[in-house]
Amino acid sequence: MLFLSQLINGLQLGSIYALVALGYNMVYGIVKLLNFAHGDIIMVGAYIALFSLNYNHHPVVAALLTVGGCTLLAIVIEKTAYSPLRLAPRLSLLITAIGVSILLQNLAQFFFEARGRAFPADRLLPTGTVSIGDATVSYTSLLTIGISVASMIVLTFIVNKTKLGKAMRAVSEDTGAAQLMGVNVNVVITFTFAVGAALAGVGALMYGVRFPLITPTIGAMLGLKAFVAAVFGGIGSIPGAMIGGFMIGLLEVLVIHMGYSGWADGVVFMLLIIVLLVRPTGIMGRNLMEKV
Amino acid sequence: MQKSNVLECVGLGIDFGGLTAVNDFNIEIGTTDIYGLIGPNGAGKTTVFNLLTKVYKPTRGSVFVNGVDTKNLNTVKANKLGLARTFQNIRLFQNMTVQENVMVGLHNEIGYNLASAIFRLPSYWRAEKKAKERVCDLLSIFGMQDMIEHKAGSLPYGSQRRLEIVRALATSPKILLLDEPAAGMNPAETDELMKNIQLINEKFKIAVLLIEHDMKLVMGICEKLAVLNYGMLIAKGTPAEIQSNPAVIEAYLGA
Repeated sequence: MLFLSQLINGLQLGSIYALVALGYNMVYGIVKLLNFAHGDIIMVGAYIALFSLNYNHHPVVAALLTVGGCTLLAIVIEKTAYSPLRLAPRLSLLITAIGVSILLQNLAQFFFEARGRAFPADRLLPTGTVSIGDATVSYTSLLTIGISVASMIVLTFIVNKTKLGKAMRAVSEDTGAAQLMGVNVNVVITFTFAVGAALAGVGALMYGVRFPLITPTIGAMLGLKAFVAAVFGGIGSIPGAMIGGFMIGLLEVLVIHMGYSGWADGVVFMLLIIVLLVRPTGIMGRNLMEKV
Repeated sequence: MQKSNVLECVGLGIDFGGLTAVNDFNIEIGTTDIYGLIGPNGAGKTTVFNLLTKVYKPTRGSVFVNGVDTKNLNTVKANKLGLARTFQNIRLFQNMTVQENVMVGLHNEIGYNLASAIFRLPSYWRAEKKAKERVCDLLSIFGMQDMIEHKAGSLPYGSQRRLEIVRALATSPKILLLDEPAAGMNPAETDELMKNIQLINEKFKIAVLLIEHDMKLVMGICEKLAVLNYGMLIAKGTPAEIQSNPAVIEAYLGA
């Protein structure tokens, strides 16, 4: 059953993209910022996990450190780089995000060296395979998908059922009206960055397991692919990010399986162009037409 | 200043560049007054609301809420002090349900932290249950408690206006600012709205300041009126006094 094992393979890759794309979309939904530093937060997370595991920390401790580290880093970035630009044009914010991305990559090169380091995946998740019918599937694939889906369920619960989630949606729809109803927008924005980065932390762990070679630039390509997933699903939409992520992952695996592995990235970016031409709002995107 | 005034403006004014939008605006509103703010289109009525709720920063003058100067407060803090409003062009959270819209108004009242929500601790359920009861309570003023699961954007126009009032009430205001609450309503709906505003005024013991063009509504429920023209107050008084005021007649008829 080659189909089943490739399907799970694609879902594993897709769940990583989905986790990252969620961070893009949540932040975009609130502050209308494409946070291009998001991928680099994942890179930092991957290093935290790598060092922590090499230090013989328990996997749970390493995971908590990674998620906590990413969250903290995102809050610091938001407070120092983005928050002072709250009233500035969106373009200034976008350029700042690119600047933060470059800064993080160079700091990582400075502190962690540019050479690739091996990610001790076997210390994080159990190795081994399981047979489903004729297909052989690794534990890590199944665990990656499971953990990602669980994270998404928690996120959906937070957004739909808690008061901060409701405040998030309110701010995303009409910031001014939300403020007039007593919602502290700064708290909501920081919270959004924090949740997005926590998901990025989970994404960093899953990325390390799937591609166990960590360099300071892994965040760039991962961030771009997740951005494509976000646009494909509908920028600003939370279910859109999940669907977009899984679709991109499956597409990439499909292209590789057909024997065109060199084309995998190209096809993904071609999809971005097609989506922007045919349906710029993405699958789940809100209609951009505004009532006059 | 008297303690019994929930809202007091002294020499309030704002300039946009060289244009003076509102100038020398003075008003005193008692704790349970229903006060009307009228004037021709473009007179600056909504600008006054934006000044009161700190959407705009006043160029001159002060606003006191319950005797507290709001000079250094932002929108959120002004709301916590007791100012809540609706909007001329409805600004509900269209993609959220009726219940969720009101819950956003209750935001600062719901007491539980995120951890207890994620782990579904009893404190989360208690707070959610209490909040839901409050939502139903507030919606029942307008008989809207059966609509809690509807999307706000799918409600008929009149219901959207009513929902905005409920959402504002959810923030437990001391004074409710209504920006053209009857706009787009038919005469029967307007009559009902009048009764509801009076009911809210009595039940919650709060003041109401309303902008309205429907003179039947304004003259029917307001105890006092202020008339704005070209950003200046041209008259204040009871509905009867205003109706016979020559300056007001001139402003409206351009005679």
